Amino acid sequence: MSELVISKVDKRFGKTVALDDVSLRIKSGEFICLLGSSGCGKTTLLRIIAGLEQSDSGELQLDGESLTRLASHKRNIGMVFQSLALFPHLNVSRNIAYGLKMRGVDAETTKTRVEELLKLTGLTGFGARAVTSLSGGQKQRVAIARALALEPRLFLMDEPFSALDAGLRDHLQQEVKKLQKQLGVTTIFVTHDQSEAMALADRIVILNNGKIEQAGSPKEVYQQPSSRFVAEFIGANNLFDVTIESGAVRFKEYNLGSSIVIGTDLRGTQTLTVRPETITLLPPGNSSGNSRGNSSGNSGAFLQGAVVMQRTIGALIEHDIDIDGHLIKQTMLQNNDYEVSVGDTVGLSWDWSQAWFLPGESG
Amino acid sequence: MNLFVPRVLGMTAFGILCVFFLVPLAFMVVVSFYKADPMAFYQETFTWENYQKFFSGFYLNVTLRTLWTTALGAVLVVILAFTAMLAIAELSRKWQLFWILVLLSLMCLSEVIVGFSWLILLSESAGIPRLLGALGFWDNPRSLSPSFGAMMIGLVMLGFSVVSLILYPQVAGRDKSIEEAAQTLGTAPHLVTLYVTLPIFMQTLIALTLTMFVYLLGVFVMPIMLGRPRDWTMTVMISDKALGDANLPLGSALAVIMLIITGVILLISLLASRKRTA
Repeated sequence: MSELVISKVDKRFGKTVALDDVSLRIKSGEFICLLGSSGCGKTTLLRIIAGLEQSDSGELQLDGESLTRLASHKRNIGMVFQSLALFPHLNVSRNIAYGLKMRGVDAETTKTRVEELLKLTGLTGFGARAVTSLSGGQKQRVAIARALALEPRLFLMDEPFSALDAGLRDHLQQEVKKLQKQLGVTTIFVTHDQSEAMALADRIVILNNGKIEQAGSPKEVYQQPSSRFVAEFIGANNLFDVTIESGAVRFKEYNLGSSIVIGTDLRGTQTLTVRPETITLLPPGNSSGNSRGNSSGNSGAFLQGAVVMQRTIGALIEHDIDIDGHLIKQTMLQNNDYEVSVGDTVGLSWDWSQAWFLPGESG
Repeated sequence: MNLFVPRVLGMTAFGILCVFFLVPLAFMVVVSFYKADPMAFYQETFTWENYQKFFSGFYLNVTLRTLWTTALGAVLVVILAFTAMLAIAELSRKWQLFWILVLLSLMCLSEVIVGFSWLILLSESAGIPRLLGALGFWDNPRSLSPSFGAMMIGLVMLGFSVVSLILYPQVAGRDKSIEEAAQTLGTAPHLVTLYVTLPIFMQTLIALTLTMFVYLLGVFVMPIMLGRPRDWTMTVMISDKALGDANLPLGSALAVIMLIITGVILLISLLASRKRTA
């Protein structure tokens, strides 16, 4: 169980800024997901933590001990690579035992530890198998067992499931989460897959252009995004540039309601985010203020538009609704009482407690 | 699937192999049992005499010398090429391309040109000895060829570019995260090549060493140009007997024996490799 403190870390590759003043405190036993699109700096940060890259400036401390100048092989950090990086010339047991052998652990202890890890990762009986003969999921388990063999202070995983099919990925995600809880090892998991981050993390750190955009629990980053990037990056979202004046919240010429009723003291131009699943579709006639400019409160439809796209995704139906050229996404369960078709005019409303004004986005 | 075209092509290739390799080989085997005749190359009289000469001592010594010389040459070629490619693979793409072009240029040179170049470089009057003398590192510079070392340099030069170019794509395209994984598992960076990279490439390196061994067995020019007579390999002896002494039966017998020895060595290596893989 180890606490990692990252302070003001910068990294450039030529003219490209990979990390820009990154600071983060990772609590002991925490499961952190570094989430971002390609090139955002998440893998660079992981490699700096592992000692495979040197930061240009900044400091890393693990349980108060500085890692900044410590060589990778002396850090005792277990890492699972994107390519898994198993040793193709060694069998499963020898792959797992490699780190123990490097540390000079005696043969009997090594054998016992390897057996433990094989059992822990569900690979009992696979010890003598060549790693090249294993399936994708089995290889993942070997890579995890190998990284955990030395009882590392930190456990790093760099997009380990990116090459797997969805079913196996879900299964391994659950196993990793269970294993991490069981061992209590502080874990940093890099992914570009937001659903993977949501499923695994205690805390998600969202990176963009080498900077941390937001760090928070999956619920926080989903429901209370700190920036337009996070709001658009995490899940589907509807962003409205609204104006709050004289106690009224307006979007284009629609009056969305009273700011007192909505419960905000913000003023001026703001960005409002509303998740598609929190929007309710209403028949156009079933609204207290569906015509332009005269919505009065938090009941009934605030907006009105035409359904331009409808598609079924499993149990959900997704709609695109055109409101004066502004496309709104809405999702609802298939067994909803109110059914609409493409071309229908519908009213839209939502629960204001589920809506969120982006901080620092006022105009 | 119509197999007519592949069958025709296959039979043509097999026919060419029979005509240009197996027929001369069969002829050589037959001649190796004939009696030598200085006036007419050979008499068509069956004799074991040529094979008995091989075991007389002299040729046995030459054979052993040839085997260890070419084995040493093959091992040196592969070690040097592998380490050079590891170093080149770390350079920028621009410099990698530069070195690949240099290697390709080296490969274009004929054995004779490479031999002459080293003859000049190792000569007392114009080459390395003179330079070392001028720099004060050698009081009494003298020619470094012919010598065993000069011959070995020639052999290594012949194989180096070929082996390097075979290894380059594999070395440059290797998954470096395996080496990084070894570091995170406690391997010091300077030991990663020894503990991880070398074992991963071992099968390839063994295969290349065997290939080079067979190739260098047949090299003729380098031992003559850069080696002393006592360094000459069996290939030189065979040519000397067959062409110089006009003793085609003895030359053929020596060639057949070398062919058998090479075949046996390759077979043993193959079996050992299979056992290791299993």
